[in-house]
Amino acid sequence: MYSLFISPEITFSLFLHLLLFVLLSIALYHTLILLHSYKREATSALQYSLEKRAYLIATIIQLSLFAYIFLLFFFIHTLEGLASLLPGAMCAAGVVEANIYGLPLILLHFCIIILSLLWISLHQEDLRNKKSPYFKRKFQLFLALYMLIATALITELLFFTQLDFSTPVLCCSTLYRQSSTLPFSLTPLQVALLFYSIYFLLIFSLYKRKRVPTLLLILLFLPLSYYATTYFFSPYIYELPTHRCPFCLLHKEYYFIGYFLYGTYILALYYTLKSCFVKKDKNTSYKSIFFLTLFVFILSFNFIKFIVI
Amino acid sequence: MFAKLHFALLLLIRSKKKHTAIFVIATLLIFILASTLFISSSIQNDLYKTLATQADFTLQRYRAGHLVDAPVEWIDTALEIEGVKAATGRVYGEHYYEPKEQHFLIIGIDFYDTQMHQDMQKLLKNLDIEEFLSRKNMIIGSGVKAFFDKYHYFNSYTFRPPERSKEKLYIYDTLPQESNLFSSDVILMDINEARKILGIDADHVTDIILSVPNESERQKVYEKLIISHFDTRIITKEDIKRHYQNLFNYKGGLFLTLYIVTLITFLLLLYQRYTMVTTKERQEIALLRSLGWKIDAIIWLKVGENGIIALFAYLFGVILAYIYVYFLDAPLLQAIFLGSDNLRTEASFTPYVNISDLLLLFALFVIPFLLAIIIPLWRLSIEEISETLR
Repeated sequence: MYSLFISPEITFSLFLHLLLFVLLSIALYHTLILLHSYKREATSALQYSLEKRAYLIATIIQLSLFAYIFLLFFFIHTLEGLASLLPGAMCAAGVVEANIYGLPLILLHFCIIILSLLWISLHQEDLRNKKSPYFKRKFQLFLALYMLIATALITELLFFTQLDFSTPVLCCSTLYRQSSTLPFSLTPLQVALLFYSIYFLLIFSLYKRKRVPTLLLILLFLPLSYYATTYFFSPYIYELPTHRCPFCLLHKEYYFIGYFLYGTYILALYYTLKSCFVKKDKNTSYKSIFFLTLFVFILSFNFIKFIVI
Repeated sequence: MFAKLHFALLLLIRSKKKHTAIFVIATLLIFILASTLFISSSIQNDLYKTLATQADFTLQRYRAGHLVDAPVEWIDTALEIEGVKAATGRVYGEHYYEPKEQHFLIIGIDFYDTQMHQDMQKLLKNLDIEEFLSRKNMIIGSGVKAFFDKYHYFNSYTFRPPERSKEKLYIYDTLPQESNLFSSDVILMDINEARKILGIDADHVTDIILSVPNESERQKVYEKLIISHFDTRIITKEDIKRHYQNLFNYKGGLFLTLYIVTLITFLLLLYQRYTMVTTKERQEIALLRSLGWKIDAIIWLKVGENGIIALFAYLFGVILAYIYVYFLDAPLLQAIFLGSDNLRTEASFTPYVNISDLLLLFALFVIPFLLAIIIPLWRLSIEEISETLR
């Protein structure tokens, strides 16, 4: 338990997450009542009170989302800060790999943000339409979101309590040294080529607004972009052939490029999923194309610069 | 959206009085927390800056858990290790002024040593060594100077070494003000004088500092130092840094945990404030609703209104804290951080603002602030219009 107080950031990250969780639990309580006895056509007093409850739930979720976005970056910043306290760690990579809960925790936070962004877009669509077609579905989606948030909170608690400040951890240059960890024994160059080809296919399918191919492609794009960033593009950004790490991108030395990179990544993913599930119009597709392109451009900027010069 | 914010701002200006209490308390809360953050980050920054110029290794001799003087030969054995560029013995120690229970730090300096520490070189840049050594002289920190003046030691001070003699030293100069935080209680003198006053033999030193410029050689040098003598303790620069960081995190953590308690009280206050609102405010909301505003629009309007209050309280508190710490040198809080049991350190803080600390403060204040008011705001905005307006 001592490790919870070793850095004020940990205490606060946990405190804020706990606070949000309490509020979301209140929202959950209201959601369960709502889902249990909501009948759209009914004109009873109960129905009116349920409609009013829906406003509370929506407000809580929207505010929590803003908090979660802020807290994700803050969380990553906390991990960066912990790196100087853990022997051996040079950046957040070592901290994340310090125990088995690190990586799932970051993935969970990503999922929460994307899911809650989708929830909000669903909610807005619902409000815009007089028939509220997504009314029940959005509250069912909230149940899933709540499960994710609860899991994330437990994982976070486990992660911080099990953090051992006496055993050395591996630093990023050791963790990502071998490209043999790449799936199907691909070389980094092959991964990059695959990454670009999937990107062009994805853009094409988004432009044509084909739902199933887009979904399949984005599922392929997700792991590929991770591997491509870590094993192929990051050395160009660091301008150091031996340095491969997805976390050092967040450092000041590289102008905090990581925050922009992961920010556009989240936005691109959000708009792509939105165009598949919520709003199947041109505008959303174009937005998703824009953010995808921005992500790829930021990522490959140094690579292109290296080739041209 | 901007139109709504504008409207919220207009509402705020119209009903200033309602929000004054919350605003004042919030500002005070932020002010206190931000001042402590500023002070601690300023001290931390100064410490790290000092640490950067420190030696890579410090070699000390321990016997039965006590620090004892190390023999001078150890310097030569350390210099024989590959990778050690320089090794210097240091002579320093505390002088205890019994009547007032004060202590000074006596540092002996070998003025003919060319490998003198950089910081010392900077301090003693304008010193005429010949003149300084022509008689028993010393250079004192400003805290010592104030103390000596108070007890009428204007020109000289007589130390009493362990062998019952008297050592009268003349005050030659006072150290410059800007290095105050660390040099306030310092007395600099010739190394042989220091040995006499502190009772250290001529062939011994207090500890030995080593410089190992190549970072990759440090681990090997460390191992060799350990096996060279079995009664040594080696302190590395990283050890000191980690120690400081743990100390600051611990102190900061303690303070922030207290802050959480205060924050929860404040949140309760906010919650109460919106549970018990005046009829006038209820009517305002009912009026908006009867004009066709949706419930969530009203909630967001109120959230925006409170967001503006929180933001201004935050900015106001931080600016006040900045002025308090860096322009006024934190009159009351200073004593908590620097300690006032020994010679008073009249430190002035070097402005250093850690952006991440400010962001932490922002997240910790604004997010709970807004979360606390959602439920009472919702209750307020779903009230029956006809009842309220009647």
